[in-house]
Amino acid sequence: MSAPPVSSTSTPPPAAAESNAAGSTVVVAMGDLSDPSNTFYELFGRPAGSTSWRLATPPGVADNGGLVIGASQSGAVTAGFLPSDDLTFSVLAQRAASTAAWVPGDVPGTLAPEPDALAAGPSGQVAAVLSRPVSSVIGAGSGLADWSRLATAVELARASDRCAVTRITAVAVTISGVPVVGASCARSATIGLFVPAGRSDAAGGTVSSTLRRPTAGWSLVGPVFSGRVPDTTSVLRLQAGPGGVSALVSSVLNGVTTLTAMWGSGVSGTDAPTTSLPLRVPPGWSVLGTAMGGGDGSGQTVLLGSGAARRVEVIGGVATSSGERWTRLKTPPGGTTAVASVGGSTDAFVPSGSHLSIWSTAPGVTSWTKVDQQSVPIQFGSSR
Amino acid sequence: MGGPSGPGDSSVIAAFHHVLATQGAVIVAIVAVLFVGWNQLRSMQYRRAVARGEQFPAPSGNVALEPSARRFLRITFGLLWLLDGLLQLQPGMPGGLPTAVIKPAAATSPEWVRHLVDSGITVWANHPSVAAASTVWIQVGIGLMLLVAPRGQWSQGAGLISAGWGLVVWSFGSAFGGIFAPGLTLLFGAPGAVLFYVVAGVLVALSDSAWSGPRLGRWVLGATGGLLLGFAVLQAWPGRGFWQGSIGSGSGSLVAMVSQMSQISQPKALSSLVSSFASFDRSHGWGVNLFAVVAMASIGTVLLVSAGSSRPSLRARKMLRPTMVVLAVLCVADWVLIEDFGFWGGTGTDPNSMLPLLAVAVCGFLALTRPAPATQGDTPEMQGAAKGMAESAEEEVSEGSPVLAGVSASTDALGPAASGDRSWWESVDTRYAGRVAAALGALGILLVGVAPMAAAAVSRTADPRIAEAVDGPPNVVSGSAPGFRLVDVHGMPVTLADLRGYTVVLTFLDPVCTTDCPIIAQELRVTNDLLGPAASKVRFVAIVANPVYRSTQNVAAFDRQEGLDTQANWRFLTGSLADLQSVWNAYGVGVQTPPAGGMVAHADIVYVIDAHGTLRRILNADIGSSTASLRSSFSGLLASQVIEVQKG
Repeated sequence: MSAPPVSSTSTPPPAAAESNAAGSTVVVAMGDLSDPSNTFYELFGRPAGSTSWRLATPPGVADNGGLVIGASQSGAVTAGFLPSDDLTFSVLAQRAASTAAWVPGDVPGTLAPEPDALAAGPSGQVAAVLSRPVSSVIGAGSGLADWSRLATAVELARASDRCAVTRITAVAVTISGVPVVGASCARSATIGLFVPAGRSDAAGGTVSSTLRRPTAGWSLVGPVFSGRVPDTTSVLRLQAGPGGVSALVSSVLNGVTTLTAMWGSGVSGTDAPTTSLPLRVPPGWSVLGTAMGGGDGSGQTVLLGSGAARRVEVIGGVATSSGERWTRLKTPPGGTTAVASVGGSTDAFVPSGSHLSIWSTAPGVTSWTKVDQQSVPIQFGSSR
Repeated sequence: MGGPSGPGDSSVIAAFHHVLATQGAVIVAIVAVLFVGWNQLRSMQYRRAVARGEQFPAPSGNVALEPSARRFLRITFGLLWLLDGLLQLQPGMPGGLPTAVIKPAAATSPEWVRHLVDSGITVWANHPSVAAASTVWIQVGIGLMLLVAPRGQWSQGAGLISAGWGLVVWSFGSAFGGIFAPGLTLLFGAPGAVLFYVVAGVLVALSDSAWSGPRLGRWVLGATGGLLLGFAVLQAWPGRGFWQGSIGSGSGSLVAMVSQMSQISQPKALSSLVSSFASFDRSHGWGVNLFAVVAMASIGTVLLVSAGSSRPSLRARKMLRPTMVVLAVLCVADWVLIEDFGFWGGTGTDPNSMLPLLAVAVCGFLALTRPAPATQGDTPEMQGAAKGMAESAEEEVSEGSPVLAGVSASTDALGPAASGDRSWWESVDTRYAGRVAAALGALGILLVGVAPMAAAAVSRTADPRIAEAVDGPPNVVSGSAPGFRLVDVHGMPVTLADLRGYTVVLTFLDPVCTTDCPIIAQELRVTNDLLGPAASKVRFVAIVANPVYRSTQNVAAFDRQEGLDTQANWRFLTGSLADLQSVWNAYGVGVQTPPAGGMVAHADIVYVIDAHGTLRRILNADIGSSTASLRSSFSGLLASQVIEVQKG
C-alpha cells in the first residue's frame, strides 16, 4: 500500500483588491477566521459606476484555501481556487464582462498563493503563476485554451545574475499583450521584474493575442535599489493599465520590511520607473491586504496589522512624482481584513461571521463612514 | 466516518461486549475440559484405590515450603493483575483508553516516546474492541496464573509473563511511567505502577536458590531505599513547582495534580477528601513538600542501611520494622489523598503506584527477615547470613501451606515416577494435577487474550466493526443496478454493461472536493490492495458528483492527485450534465451546489455490483471526522464485502 497524497493547504495570500476602468474586485476572508475549514474567501465585485459591492464568489469548489483574481480592462474576470485540505491542484472560473455566470476552467498545476497569481490580458489571454509542479508562469489564449509554459523560476534565475530568483510571485499582462513577471530574489539590489527579451509594455506596440514562450528568453528589467543590498526583495503586486505597470515591492534587510510602490512603463523596462519613498513595516506588524488601481487608476493601498491594530497607507498613482511619501489614512474600523481603492476613496471590509460591514473614507477625510452591510450565505461546516 | 468517538461510543462498547462474550465462551470451554480431565483422573484413582484398599488421596510426601516473601509477592501481584483485568472491563476502555489515558500520559514526553506510544495507540485504535477484550483476558490470565501456580516452572513462567506484559504496558501504555517527562514525582505515580509489576514478575521468576538467605531481601530493600532517596532529591529540587502551593494565580505542581484527580468522576466523599487535601497543600505547599522530602529521604536511608551489609546492626534491624510501618502508612495516605486510588473515572487501568511499591518493599522486608532455608547451592556466607537474619527475626518462619504435594521444590514433574505395577496416572498426585490444570486454565485465558491481540498488531487493516459502528453495517440488497453511459478520462464511452463479468465497486466523487472524496478514493485504493489477486476481477468505478467541475481534465487531475491514474482497474467517469443527473437520480445521490465558497454536497455511498449487473451491497461511506483507523476499517470492510459478492 502506498502513501496517500500529502495535504497541500498553504498559507493564503494577503487580502487583495484591484480596480480598473471596468470595475473593482476584492477578496475577503469570512466565516470563522480561527478555523481554516470554516474560513471562506468571498469575491465581491463592483462594476464601474456602481456604488455597491456584490457577492460574486464562483460556485462549485470549496475555497477555503483562498481565491486569486485576474481582472481585465474589458471587465472579464478570472478567478483561481487555491488548494486546500486534500485538494492539491487548482481550477479556474471565468466570467465575461457584464455577465454574472461563471464558466469553469482548468489550469495545469497549482496556483501560487500570491495575490497576482492570475492576470488577464486585453484579448482574453490569461497568465498564471504556478507553485507546482514547479514555480513557473504559464499562459493561455482566450477561453483558457492552449496553456503553455512561459518561464520557470530557474529560467528566470539564469536570465540574469543580478537577481537570484527563488520563486515567481506575480504576473501581469500589459495592454500590448506582453507578460511581465515578478519574482522574489535573494540578496539582490535589483527588483525581480522580467519581460520577454526585446519586448516592452510600451503602448502602441503590436498587440499579441496569445501568450507564448519568448523565443529570445527573458530580460531582467527591474529597477535597482540604492543603498545596502536587501536580504530579499519580492514583487507583491503587479498590475497593468493604460499608464503602464504598477508594482508593489517588499524588501527585507536585517529583518525589517519596507514596501515600495512603483509605476510607469519603466517598471517593465523602457524608462526609469517612478518610485515611492519606502514604507517601513513596524516590527510585529504585517501586510494584511493590498489594493491596486486607486486614485488615477494606478494608486496603491496597503493594510497593515498587528494584533487588533490596523493601519491603512495609500499612495497616488502614475502621476505621482518619485520620492512621494505614503499617506496614512484615519485608523480603519476594528476587524478590518481587506481594503479596496475605488477612484479617490478607500473601502475597508470588516467581516464578522457571515456578515460584512463596508466602510469608506478618502485622503483628507477625518473618519470612516459605514456605507453598506451584507449577509453572506456561508455554508459553515461544509468543508469538514 | 469518525472513528471511536471516545469512551462513550456505544457501538464500540457493544462490539467490545460481543468480543468479551465470544472469548468468554471459549474460556468456559477450556476450563470445562480441564476440569473434566482432572475429575476423570481423580475418579480413576479413587476407584483404583478403593479396589486396592488404599487410602485416597494418598498422603503427600515431603513438600518444600514457598518462602513467605515470595508467596506474599505472588499473591499480591496476582490479585493486582486480577483487579487490573477487571478494570479493563469498564465500558469506556475500548474507545477511551487511547485518548483518555495513553495519549495524556505521553503528552509531555519526548518525541521518541510519543512516537513509540503512538504505535501502541494505532493498534488499539484500529482494533478497540479486540484490544480491550484481549487486555482483560491477558491480565486476568496472568493474575490467575500467579495465584494458582505457587512453585516450580509454572510459577516462574507466570512471573516472566507478568514481567513481559508489564514491560509492554509500561512502555506502550504508560509512556515509561512518565520518567522522561517533566514533573516527575513519586507521589503521583512515577516511575509507573506497572514497573513494580515488572519487578515483581522478575522476582517471582527467580530460581528457588535466589530466595534462600537474606541476600534477595537486601537487594530489594536496598533498591527500594535508593528509589526513595532518588525521588526525595527530585522532590526537593528547586524550580519544579513542588515547594509552592500556588504560583501566582496558578497552582503548584502537586496541587495541580491533586486538583486534576479530584475532578475525575468518583464518589463525592472521595472527591471532597482529595479536594480538601489540595486546598491544604495550596495553603501549606512548602510544609507538605518538606514532609514528603524528609519522609522519603528518611525511609530510603533506613532501607539502604538495613540492606547495606550482610549483618546489619541490631539498631538498624530494630528500626526496620517501624520504618516499614511508616512506609505503609504513608503509601496508603498518598494512594488515597494524592493518587486518588488511581482507578476512578471510567478509564482507570490500575490502582496506581503506591500499593505495588509497598508490596515490593514488604516482599524485601520478608525476604530479609524470614528468608527461606539456604539450599545446598548457597555459599557459606549466604547460609550464615540467612541463619543470622532468621535468628534475629522476632517471628520464626511459619509453617507454610503445603504446595504441589508430591513434587519437590526443584522439580516440575507431574509427580512421583510411576513404579512397579502401577500405571503412570495412578502415581500422579491429584492435588498437584489440580494445580497444573488450574495453571493451564489460566494460561488458556491468557492465550485467549494474546492470540487476537497479536493478530490485531500485525493486521493490515483496522477492525471492520469500527466502520460499521460509525456508518452502520453494509446493506445487503438484490436488484438490477441502474445502467449508465458516460465517458472515461480519455473521453471513451463506458457503460455498466461493458463491465459485466467484473464485480463493480461504484461510488460518486467530486473531482475538486477538498475532504471526503480524496479520502474515499484512498479507501478504494487500499481496498484494491487488500483484494490482492482477486482485484483483477474487480472494477472500481467513480462517477463525477459535481455539476460544475466535471471535465475530463478535472477527472484526470483528480486521478493524478490520488495516484489512481496508474491503477488499471480504476475508472473515473463523467459526462454531460444531463447524463450525470440521470445517474445521480438513479442511484439516489443528491448533489447540491452551495453558494459562497461551499463545497459541492453529495451522498457518500459505495455500491457493490456483482458480475451479472445485480446490485448486492450498499455501504455508507461518510467519512465524518475521518481517522486512520476508520479509513483502514472501511477498506477492510469493503474488501470483505467484495469477496462475499464474488463468492456469490
